[in-house]
Amino acid sequence: MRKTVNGKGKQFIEIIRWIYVLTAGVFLLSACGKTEAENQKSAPAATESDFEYQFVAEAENGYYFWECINQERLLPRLLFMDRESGRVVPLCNRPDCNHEGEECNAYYPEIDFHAAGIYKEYLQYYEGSLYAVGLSEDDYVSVFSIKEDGSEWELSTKLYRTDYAVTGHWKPPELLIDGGYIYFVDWYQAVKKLERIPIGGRTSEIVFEGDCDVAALDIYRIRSNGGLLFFQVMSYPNEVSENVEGGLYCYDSEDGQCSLVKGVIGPYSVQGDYVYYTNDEGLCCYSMRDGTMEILVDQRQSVPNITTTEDYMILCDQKTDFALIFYDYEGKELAKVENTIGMYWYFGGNAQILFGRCMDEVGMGLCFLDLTRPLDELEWEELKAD
Amino acid sequence: MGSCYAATSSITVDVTRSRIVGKFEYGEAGHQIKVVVNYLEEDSGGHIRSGDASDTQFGNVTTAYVSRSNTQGYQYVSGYAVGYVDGVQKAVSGVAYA
Repeated sequence: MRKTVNGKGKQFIEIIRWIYVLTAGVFLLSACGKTEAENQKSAPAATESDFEYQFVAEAENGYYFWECINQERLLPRLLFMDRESGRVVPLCNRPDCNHEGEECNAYYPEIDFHAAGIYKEYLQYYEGSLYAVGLSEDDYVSVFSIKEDGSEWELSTKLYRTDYAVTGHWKPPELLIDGGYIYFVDWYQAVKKLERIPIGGRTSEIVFEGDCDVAALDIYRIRSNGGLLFFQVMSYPNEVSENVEGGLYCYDSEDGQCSLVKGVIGPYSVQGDYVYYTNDEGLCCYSMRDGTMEILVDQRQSVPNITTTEDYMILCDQKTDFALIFYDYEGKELAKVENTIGMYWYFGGNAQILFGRCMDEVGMGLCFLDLTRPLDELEWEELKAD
Repeated sequence: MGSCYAATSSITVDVTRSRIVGKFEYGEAGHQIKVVVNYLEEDSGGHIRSGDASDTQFGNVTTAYVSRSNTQGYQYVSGYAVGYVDGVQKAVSGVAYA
């Protein structure tokens, strides 16, 4: 027999329904607009180093980098900075060497369109060796391997042939070594593709290629994070540089698949499941797991670089004053570090140190910012060998 | 325009959004003279990358000159020039911004 509800019963049910709706509303409101990133109120659990470019090679016990050519340093050397002491020395193991001149092991021949050599604006450390980019004797853009102690170096892998020897115009490849492969983009092509070749191998394979009908296609900002390879694609449909399309892609070497992560065409940083990026809306955080986006800093950003560390999100606006703005992961501005050293190019870094290139009266040099100091004491310093 | 003068040489660089020009003059003929302009360029997505362009002269000349226009989708941000004589660096300009 079906039960009926009288007037008092209906009233009671309505009250219960409203209590339910109000309670649910309170719970929904408290969760609305919050991502996991906001709820955890801190950086992603596993924070990796965040170098925008491969100018500084990070190893377990320190950093390797090339000296800059300037009026005081006509023969730039390969230097090593000890992570603990901060001491910087030429990477040379020859006894009684004064580390000046071409005889020093820390010196490597410069790339020149009349001769083979090393392009001293790329360096990566991978599984006990250093890798540099340069030009082979037979005009191939190549990767050279350097022993960790600087005692030996040799040509490791040829990537592609270049007309640099004829034109004198050098465009370095976009390049990253990860998982035993060299991932690279030939920047002499208008419609570029991402390829990879095993370290020491001879045959490359295509990882990603876009629409061949576009006027131009760029691939850059290749980063490795959490076993995945991230890169950005920018497509120019026609000769007019407007109407560009692009996005952040991810390559999973396990299944060999590339997938679009998000339509992010500006600078980005990946930490764990989160992508941090800037656009007209501000500094944003995108959860790759949940597919949700949150604006952390509600202020238009003018194409800065982003570095994320354990404690900070750091923005550097290379288009204006090179000042670094430090934020916490709730989007609160913590500090601003002024460019007091003539910054020319910002490279990023990790939770302990940031690197960049600066310019003074004698020419180009390297500089660093010691992040282990208190925020109000941060200041760029020159980086020079003892 | 940035410039720097050594005893017998002069070097200049000029950068606009669409072109970079470098010029190195050396006060003595009969040498290999080379000028390299190192530049930063930026695309629509704000990605900055480097590159360089060179010119080398041999024989009875005293000036090396290089001029390069931007490639599609890219605009120059800044640059500086380095001058070489017989493979040895002789002069570095200051940084010029577009």
